[in-house]
Amino acid sequence: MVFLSFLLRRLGLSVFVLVGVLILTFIVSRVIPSNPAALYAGARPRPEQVAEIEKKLGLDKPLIEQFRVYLADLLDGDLGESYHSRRSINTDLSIFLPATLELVIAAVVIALVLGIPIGALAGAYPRSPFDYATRFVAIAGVSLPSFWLALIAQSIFFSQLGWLPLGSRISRDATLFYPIAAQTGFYLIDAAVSGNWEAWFDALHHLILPALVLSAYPLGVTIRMTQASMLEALSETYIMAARAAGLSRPVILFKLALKNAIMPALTVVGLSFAYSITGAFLVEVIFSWPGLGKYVTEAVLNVDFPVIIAVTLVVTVFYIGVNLLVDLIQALLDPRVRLV
Amino acid sequence: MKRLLLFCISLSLLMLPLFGTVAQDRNVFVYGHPVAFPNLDPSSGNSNENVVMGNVYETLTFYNGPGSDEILSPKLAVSWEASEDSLTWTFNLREGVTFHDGAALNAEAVKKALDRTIAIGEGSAWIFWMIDSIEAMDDLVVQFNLNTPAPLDLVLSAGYAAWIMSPNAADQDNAWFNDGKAAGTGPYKIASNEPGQRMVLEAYPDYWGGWTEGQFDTIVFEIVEDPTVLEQMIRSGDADFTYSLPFDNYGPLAEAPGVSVVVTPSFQNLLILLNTIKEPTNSKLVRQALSYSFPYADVVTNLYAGMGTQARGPIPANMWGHGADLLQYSHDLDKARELLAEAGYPDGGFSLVYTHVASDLDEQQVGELWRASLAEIGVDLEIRGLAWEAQWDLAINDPASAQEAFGFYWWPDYITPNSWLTGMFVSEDEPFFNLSYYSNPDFDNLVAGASTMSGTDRIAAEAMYVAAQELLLEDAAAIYVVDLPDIHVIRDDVSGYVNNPGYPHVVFFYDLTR
Repeated sequence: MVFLSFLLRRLGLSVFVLVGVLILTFIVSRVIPSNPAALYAGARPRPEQVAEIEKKLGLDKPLIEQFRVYLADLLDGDLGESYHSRRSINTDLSIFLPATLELVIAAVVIALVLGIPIGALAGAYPRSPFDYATRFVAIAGVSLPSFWLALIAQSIFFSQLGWLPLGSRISRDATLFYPIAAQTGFYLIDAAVSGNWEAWFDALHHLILPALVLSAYPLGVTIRMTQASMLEALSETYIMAARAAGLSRPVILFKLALKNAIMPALTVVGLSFAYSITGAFLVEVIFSWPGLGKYVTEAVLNVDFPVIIAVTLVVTVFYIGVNLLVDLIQALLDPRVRLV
Repeated sequence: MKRLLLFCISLSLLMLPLFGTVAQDRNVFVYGHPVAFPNLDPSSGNSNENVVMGNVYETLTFYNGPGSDEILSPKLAVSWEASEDSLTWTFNLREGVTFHDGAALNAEAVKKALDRTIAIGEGSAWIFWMIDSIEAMDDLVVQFNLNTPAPLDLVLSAGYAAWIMSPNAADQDNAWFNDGKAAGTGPYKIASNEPGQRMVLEAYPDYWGGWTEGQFDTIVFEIVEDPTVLEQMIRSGDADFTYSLPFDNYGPLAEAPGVSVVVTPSFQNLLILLNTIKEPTNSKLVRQALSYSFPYADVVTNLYAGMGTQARGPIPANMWGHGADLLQYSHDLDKARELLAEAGYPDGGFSLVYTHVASDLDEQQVGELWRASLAEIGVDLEIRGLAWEAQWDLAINDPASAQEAFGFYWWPDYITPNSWLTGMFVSEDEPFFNLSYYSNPDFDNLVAGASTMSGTDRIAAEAMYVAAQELLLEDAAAIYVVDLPDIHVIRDDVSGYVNNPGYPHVVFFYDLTR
């Protein structure tokens, strides 16, 4: 019962945040000096066209009425139409969002799979050369700007070594000879479902470099968090007891200490998942990755407000959703959280 | 630990390049394209998707590139004629042409396609403003009834909005086209589309022009925003064609093996419109002085790496209606001082506002070079970068408080001098694109007369257009900065490439071989 009321309160707050973001972006899009009707009409419209479009888009109505219409459409699940391309934003998001999510999920998986063992080992052997090397990698990962890292990675793995492709989601040859039948928009899933393994490997091959670059930040955070909580766990009395009981070192490290050290790391990675969606924007542009980032970059350059608002909303939803999820997991595991 | 090692090994195995040797039984041409295709609807698409449209769809008439004897050549229409008064136009269609979906090209199809575009009324559809009705007279004869005399044959050669789509496609909405579907009569059809990333075209086997050995059967557009990556692609042979690299990069690129840089004049130019209503630029003498104060040669050599040319009047040098003997202002500060003194500003002593699109660094540098020159004659220039809509809003709201100088690019919707002259300089009740607010009844009459005449007597029309420009240049309503070049980079082993500035950056793949 306590948990249910906690859940409801958190959900209510989330809706509040969402509406706030919506109002703010909507107002910003309407008050900055620009002429949306002329934007919609495209390069060099005629006066009649602009007047007609103003009417069609409802821009001649008061701001509050425009907001009401927008909200009504939104509640119907309609994010509207891009001024620049006339395309339905729902359709566009169904193409670009999976591309970004595929990239972000891959990055977070890399961060977890590499970060937790590395952090745990660094925590288990404090002040060892491995610990120092790990600290360096972790700090570099957190502090280096992702676009710089992306360019360096390209010049090493594409230009110098020729191991990995320069960019894009899939190679031209795969498009021509092994086209993926789009269903979910996640190439690895779509290709696997249709048994198209040539395209699957090709997609994976293209995913590695951008995912590695994008994983730098969550990887650094995971390593540092795991290492810190590992150190803390190892100084607990139950570890001393286990040692006294003669348990082997791997069992102490990985069965006992890591189990307790992993929770804070998972929380942080959960939060950095949402962060990585916006982090992906820069990486996508450099790797010609056709995702949300490339989509919104173009929208910003074209001052395409319906798209900018829609993407802001989607990212907000992810932030709120992930935060909520993390809070819920914590509350489930630790009853003290619910009372706060 | 062992599992970690195993993971690392399998990860490094993945890094080995795939597809080392795929059987290349296709003849593929790759166009490295700097921006995505926003709107694939042939009726309303008004942007860079023209490079796709030009190969998938066709127009009734085709605008020939500069240097041809005739301005137009037949495409879907084999012949046409206008009535004496230019109000009724009859086009005879080509026989045996089919759309990609199997439908036959006939008069009904042409009517349906253009009626769709006119009804939607977006993008460049306004170029058909003079069409009252379209009638299918016979299976292959279509007649256009106009409300105003106009050169309809030129209008129908436009690189936007004039495309003919199949009757079945004409029933579809915008979303259908943007899903990557199409049905034109062109030599290529859309095979697949990954928005924002890649589009593949493949040869349409039943194309009316037929096919011969060596032509490309597969065309790939790679969407790559980053110019560094584009350059890498064209250097390595990963792309066969690209454009839109930084001006300074073309020099070294031209030296690179296997690559040619093709520089030809385009139909786009850069002007600075001068406010003819507000003081002090309402004085003709001041505007003439400003025209003499502009450092034309500096801009051409420093900004455009010598690849553009100083404009002579508003109409680009390689287009019909250009006057080779028109007055061309030069950079002459003594003359500028003289004119300023005559206008009552012996030492300058006033300041001007020049606005440009904030994201356009070329326009900004044009302002900076001009400011340095103006400082020498005692005139101060404030350079203000704005979003295009904001720049435009400032100009159309109240001319008396607007900017004195407006940086402006112009290109034609269909290839006629009328586009520049009517678009920017014919009197307007409410300012729209005449942002000089220029108003001269003699000029208006000449342009209107030329427009009427251009349907029937293009030579007489041309003379009137040139006479109109003489007035314009005497009145110095604008500074004609530069006729911009088209700069295209193409691999050497491709032959048959000719740039046609009437269809900006469109490569007609059908004409190419390797």
